[in-house]
Amino acid sequence: MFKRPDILLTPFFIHLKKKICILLVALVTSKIILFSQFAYAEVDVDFSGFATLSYGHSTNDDLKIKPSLKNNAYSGSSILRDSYIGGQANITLSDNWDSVVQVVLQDRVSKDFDNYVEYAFLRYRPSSKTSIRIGRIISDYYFLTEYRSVGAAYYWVRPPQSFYAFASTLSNYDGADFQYQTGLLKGLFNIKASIGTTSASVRNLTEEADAEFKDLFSLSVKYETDKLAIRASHTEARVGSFSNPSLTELSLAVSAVPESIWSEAAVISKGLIPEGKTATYSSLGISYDTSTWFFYSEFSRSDSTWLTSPPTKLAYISAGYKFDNLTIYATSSYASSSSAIDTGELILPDYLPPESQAQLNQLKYATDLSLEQARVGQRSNSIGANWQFNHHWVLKAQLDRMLIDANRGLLFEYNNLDSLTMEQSTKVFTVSASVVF
Amino acid sequence: MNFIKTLILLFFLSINVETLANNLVIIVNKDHAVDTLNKKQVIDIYMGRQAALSKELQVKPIDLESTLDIKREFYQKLVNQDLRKINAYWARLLFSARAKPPMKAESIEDAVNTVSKSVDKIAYVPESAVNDEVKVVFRLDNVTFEANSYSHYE
Repeated sequence: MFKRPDILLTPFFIHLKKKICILLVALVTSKIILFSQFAYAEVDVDFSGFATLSYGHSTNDDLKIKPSLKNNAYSGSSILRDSYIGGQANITLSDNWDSVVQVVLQDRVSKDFDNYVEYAFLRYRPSSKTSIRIGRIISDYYFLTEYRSVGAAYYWVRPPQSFYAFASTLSNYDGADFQYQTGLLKGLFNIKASIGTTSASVRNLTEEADAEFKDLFSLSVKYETDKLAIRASHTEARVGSFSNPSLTELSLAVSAVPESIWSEAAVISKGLIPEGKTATYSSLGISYDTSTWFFYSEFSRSDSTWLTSPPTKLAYISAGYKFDNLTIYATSSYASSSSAIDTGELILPDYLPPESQAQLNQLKYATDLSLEQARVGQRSNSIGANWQFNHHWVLKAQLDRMLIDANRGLLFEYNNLDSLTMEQSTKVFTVSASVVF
Repeated sequence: MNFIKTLILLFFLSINVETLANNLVIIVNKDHAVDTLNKKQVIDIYMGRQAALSKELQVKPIDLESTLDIKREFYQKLVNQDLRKINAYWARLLFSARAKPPMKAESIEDAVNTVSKSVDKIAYVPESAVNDEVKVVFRLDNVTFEANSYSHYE
């Protein structure tokens, strides 16, 4: 039977994951010549880096904000929330071969070194129009995903949180991509196909979870001129594992309920198990950026066969005006999941003791709540300014107002979980300084 | 009176001669197959869009240090952007691992010498710095661009 190549290659990429990191880091530090064909070529290594120091204050003490599901969340004042420092090594091995290693230190949930490596790939360019990369690669789902930690490279204090936090679990992967680009009319056309696996330590509302995605396949197309950029992408992934003890316990408990009492129990129990479920992300983006003003907008839709990851729509629109080196901007973003599935009704026989009936009602309530609280519902409006006061430095200030629907704060954490059941709002004021070096 | 007219004429002539000498030109090695480039090709070369170029135009651009005024003038005339925006542009390309910024020469003489010795290099220099080992393939001062525009394709 025919199998998709990414499925066949999955074990290979899992094995490759740690090896490639070790290999490429060793290459950076020791300038080892990797292949015999480079024996007479001088290996050229260029180091560069970037950093953002940020201070933010939010007004809602119950609500903890995070830029990514992989990062820690903070309420009140925080320096760590939007601060990063990163280093990159570009290693040129020959005219056709090169390698890039990028490490970004940030406030990750998991402190394993693996969680800080963004790029560690080897690239072969058969021609100027084509390239093949293998190793750790940053996902190219949206406009800013490839350089979201590089504050000096975009206008905002952070990429719109409602939009960019959602798919952050898949922010990079271990695998390969093939890219073809060519001049078309007045611009550059680019098509890229990627396959691989990825894993991430994330924190949901109440606990940490380790997620692993397999059979990741992504296709993206982009057309850009000096001012205009249009991109579309589609990504599919299969959940390999998702260690979340509460969810596993819930699934087991639901599966134990007889069909005569809860007709949907078997379907729900199966739907709660993440392993083997698929997730898809499709996005469309357009930007127009001139020397005096800019406009960015992206729309994304996700879907999944996993019940705790319901279909979700995300969008943002941002526009700004430039006065020489000062840019002022406004952004509006939105994220909304569709309604949770109907879990049906319990039919409780009279012969069941009251304690058992209470337990079953409690289980049904817990199930409904889990499905309800796996949804996203939030809007945010932001105004801000950035001042590029130096060739390498940018100062930014941004004020966000975020509104989060009751029970739909998946992209946040709560100091008091009772707050989750009520609509929340917060204002966040952030100042930051970003540099590239 | 004639003396004053002569002085005025000489003054304007001297300005023209100086302007000609300081015209920004794009140079390649004299042995390179290409004799002329258009503005779009120069932009593609200097903005990291090698994929948009044909094989014979696959040359490695040489940039100058940001402290040199000629660099600011070059990018202003080429893409109507100041160096801060050019640096932000390259930060996006560099840290998304798409392309590396052009290699930098320490001085104009260094840029000319590098092109003189390498068939695959290209540089921008004042016309007064051109020697017999290189040839001019594009003159930037012949270019006009719209005010407040980043549109420069021919």
